[in-house]
Amino acid sequence: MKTTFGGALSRAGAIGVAALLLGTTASANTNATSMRADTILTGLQSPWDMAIHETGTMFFTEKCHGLSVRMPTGEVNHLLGMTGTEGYASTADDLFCEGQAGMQGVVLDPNFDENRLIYVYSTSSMTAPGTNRVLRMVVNEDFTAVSDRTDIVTDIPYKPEASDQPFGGPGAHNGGRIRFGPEGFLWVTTGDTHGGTVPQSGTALGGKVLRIDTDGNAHPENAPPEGFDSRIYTYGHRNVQGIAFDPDTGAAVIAEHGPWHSDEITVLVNGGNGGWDPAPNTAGRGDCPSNYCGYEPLQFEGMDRYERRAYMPMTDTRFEDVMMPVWDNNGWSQGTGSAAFLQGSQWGSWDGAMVVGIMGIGFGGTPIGQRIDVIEFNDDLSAVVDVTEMTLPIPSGRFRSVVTGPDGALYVAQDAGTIHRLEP
Amino acid sequence: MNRIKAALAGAFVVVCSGAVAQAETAAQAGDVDAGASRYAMNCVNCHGNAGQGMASFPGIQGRDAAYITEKLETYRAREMVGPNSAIMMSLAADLSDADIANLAAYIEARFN
Repeated sequence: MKTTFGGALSRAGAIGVAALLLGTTASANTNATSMRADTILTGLQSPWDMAIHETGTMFFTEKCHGLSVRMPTGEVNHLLGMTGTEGYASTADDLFCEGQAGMQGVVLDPNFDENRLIYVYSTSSMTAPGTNRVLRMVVNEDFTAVSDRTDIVTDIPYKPEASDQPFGGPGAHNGGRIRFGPEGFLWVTTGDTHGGTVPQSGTALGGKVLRIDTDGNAHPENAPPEGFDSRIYTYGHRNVQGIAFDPDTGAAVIAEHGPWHSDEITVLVNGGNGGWDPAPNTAGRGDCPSNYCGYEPLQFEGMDRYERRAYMPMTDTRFEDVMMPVWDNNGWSQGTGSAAFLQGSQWGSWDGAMVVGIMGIGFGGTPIGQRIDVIEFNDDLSAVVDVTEMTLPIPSGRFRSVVTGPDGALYVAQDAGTIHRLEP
Repeated sequence: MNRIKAALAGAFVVVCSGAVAQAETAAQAGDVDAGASRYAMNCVNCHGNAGQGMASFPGIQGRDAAYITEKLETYRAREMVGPNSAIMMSLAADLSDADIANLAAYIEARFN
């Protein structure tokens, strides 16, 4: 299926890098057929993320269960369980799930073979009223246990109480993807927790992308506005669940889940503002339910997505340091959940393109849109030049995680409980 | 414990006896095959092909037809049930009485 997209807009103010405005239609891609799928795991409880070692050993998280590893033989070892679980080598009773929150991202240290370190993003009750944390642990030699837990980030907000919003239960909007960038620092994506002032706050870590070292310290070259927490690389985000790094330039690119409109892909700029500001009584808006304007106007009603965007933009251009998206999903919100770059000649013209997993929403007349899109950028990532829906040999579903493995294959997790390995 | 909490999130309102009686009547008239087709259009995306639920969307395994009917009628009437009501109210808006009866019959028959 061909997909049209809104194209990139110009960057503004301090960011200052001009981008192209391309309103165009994606063309058919020669790789859109003949994909092959192997079923890796089934029957999982909301698998959220994977980290794949070069041996094929695959660590994975389940949102309400915990961290496990699938060995190349197919055997699964359950490593770290959350509260209330059984059958894990160890259990951390402070780790819990609620609504959208729970155990989410997982990544291996770039020097895993030497230091055996693994990192996990999870919701924890250790600090009231609960926070999201980044845990660092050591995997033993035979991949049967983890130990030496150190929480290197402890203060990412968690939403503890229900509010008057769609998806308004506790645990909303946690972000939760963690990845190492090409320079060896850890990037952490977070969500706004339905907090109206959180994304533009310089101290609250919700609605941000963090860049830290493996002890949780800020990268020395992070350049957020004066007075901001130094761990912040970018701010003003809604709920970033996808981050990946362009293989050629090393640039960080995020895929962000829009409100009732405008999923976005954005190339990050150090210190930049994603432009999400759902605070009440600002930018022409008045009071909002539970002091959060993110789904306004008419938060429980379907309406024209462009009218909604004009009222409550995903990227508000009133900010001088705003980073404009390079893709906006034609103004739809269908749930961009993850991102990865394809690499290797086996992908043909898709070598170097980004893939985005889309979960599907279906609210108010929006096409559900569960799919994986292949996003091709121009050389300097200032614009998207082609978008193709991947023709898949597996049923569609809520594509929560896409991860490129060391073998060049694309590993795909669906909320329904499966992980597949895809290759052309 | 958390698995239970996740499964139940957003799934409950008080069920009145009158609604139950009506639901049982509707369920008896439900067409399981027609319900399967309707389920595959939308419901499967979040509740799964076995009604197991996923992410923050609750499982519906073990729910009888009366329960399903009452919930769908509540959503169709645009009454809040739980945190995912926005989606359910949107999807239930176009359901006919027959659609609801068919879905209830299918879910009771296949997910119990």
